[in-house]
Amino acid sequence: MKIKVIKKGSNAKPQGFCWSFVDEPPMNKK
Amino acid sequence: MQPSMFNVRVPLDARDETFLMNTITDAQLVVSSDVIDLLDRLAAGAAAEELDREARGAFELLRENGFLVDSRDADRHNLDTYLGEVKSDSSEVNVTVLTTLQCNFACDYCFQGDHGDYNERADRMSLQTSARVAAWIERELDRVGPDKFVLTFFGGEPLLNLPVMYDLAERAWRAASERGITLYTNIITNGLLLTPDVVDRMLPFGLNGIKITLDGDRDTHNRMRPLRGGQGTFDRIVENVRAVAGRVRIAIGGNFDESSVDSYPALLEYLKQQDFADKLSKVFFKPIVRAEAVSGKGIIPLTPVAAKDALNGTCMTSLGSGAGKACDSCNVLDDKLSMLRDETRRLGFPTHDGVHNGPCHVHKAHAHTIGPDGSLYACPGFTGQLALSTGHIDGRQDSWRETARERFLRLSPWKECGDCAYIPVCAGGCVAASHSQLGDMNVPTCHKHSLDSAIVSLAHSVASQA
Repeated sequence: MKIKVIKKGSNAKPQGFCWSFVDEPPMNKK
Repeated sequence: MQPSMFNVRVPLDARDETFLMNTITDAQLVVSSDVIDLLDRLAAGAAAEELDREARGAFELLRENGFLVDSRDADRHNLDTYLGEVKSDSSEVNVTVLTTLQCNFACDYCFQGDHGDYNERADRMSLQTSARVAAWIERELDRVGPDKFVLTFFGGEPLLNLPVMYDLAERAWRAASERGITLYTNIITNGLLLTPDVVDRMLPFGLNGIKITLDGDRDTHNRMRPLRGGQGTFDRIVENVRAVAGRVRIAIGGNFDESSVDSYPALLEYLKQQDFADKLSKVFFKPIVRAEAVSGKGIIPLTPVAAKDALNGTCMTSLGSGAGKACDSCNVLDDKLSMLRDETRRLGFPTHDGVHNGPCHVHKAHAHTIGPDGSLYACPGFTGQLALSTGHIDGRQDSWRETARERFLRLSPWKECGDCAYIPVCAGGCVAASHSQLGDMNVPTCHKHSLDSAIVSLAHSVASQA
């Protein structure tokens, strides 16, 4: 059985994303 | 143990392998077909004790990364924990300030802006209110104690009220610095009034990035985003980007519909040829979700400007009249979105993968939008509706604001989403769209088709590098 781990699971949460507006806060991570 | 309901599989046919992702842990694997067989056997009730040594090793790795859970109840519990942590996360305070609702553009898809007498009536924040917003921010930073403070200037067009933006940025920077908190200041602008002077003025105050909108190639953008007199804005914006690129991170966004989408590859090629191409930190386009019902397959009426129940306020394209089902046009344009994402990636621009979305700010207790009058809102989509204000910077106690605040705290549209694997990265879609178009914030606006498309794209991108 072959498993290549691309990314380990974590408790980190996504930044959040706005589906609808013309623009969303774009880049809050440096 | 059984496979998690948050597992997503994408077969990689050319390699006889499968991309696996768990949307709650964000674990990503590329596995051989016998690992998929193992997951299917476990789903059918096979016990871990029955597995041979090799399968047992795979079992443990899958379990550690969240692909296997004890039961569906465990999945539900994990989801509740995840969403609860998103809501209460105190590591970041996120504030979007609408310094003005005035706009100098007359975008054909937006009811706001330089249409009719809109700008005469549109609110504008005063310097006195700016000082009170800063005082509220200080109280919030002390109350929450975050590591990070994200401040975004939005509108309307925020560069139409520079005195307030400068004043508030400086006050916010001082407040964050005194508390040892990292400040990230963003500006979302149409770019027409962006100059090196504006950037230089903001850089000392934590300026992190500027988002600018281009709606297609030159001719298309000029049709979609003109000034009131019909004059084009593309050339001026591009020159402004050129003038500031390298001083600050610039992201390019765009809003496409069926009439404009085919011009976006030309826009991408054009951007690629510019001397600032390698300085763009992100390029990402999204479909305009029309306010009116789709009248026929592939036909999206361009009539949202006078939407009968528009939310008013924030610069937006997608929310307006109650006609039609939310996101009718999302599905129509999903394939185009996928094509543009792949094309953006092919040309080497950083872009959003369309999968790692996550619950938006409306679901976060420490994310706020502040209107020009100091009213607080759960997200920019509600800024035109005072009845949906969740508070005020001066702390005034209005029962109707408290009612709205509690209403937003109880939001859980994902409860209507069944066992959808995308709940952790979608949370039921846009609450403002649900409210505006469906009349109920707790009815989800489904983006499954878009997420299916995005994860296939992500899988093939990841696999090509694996």
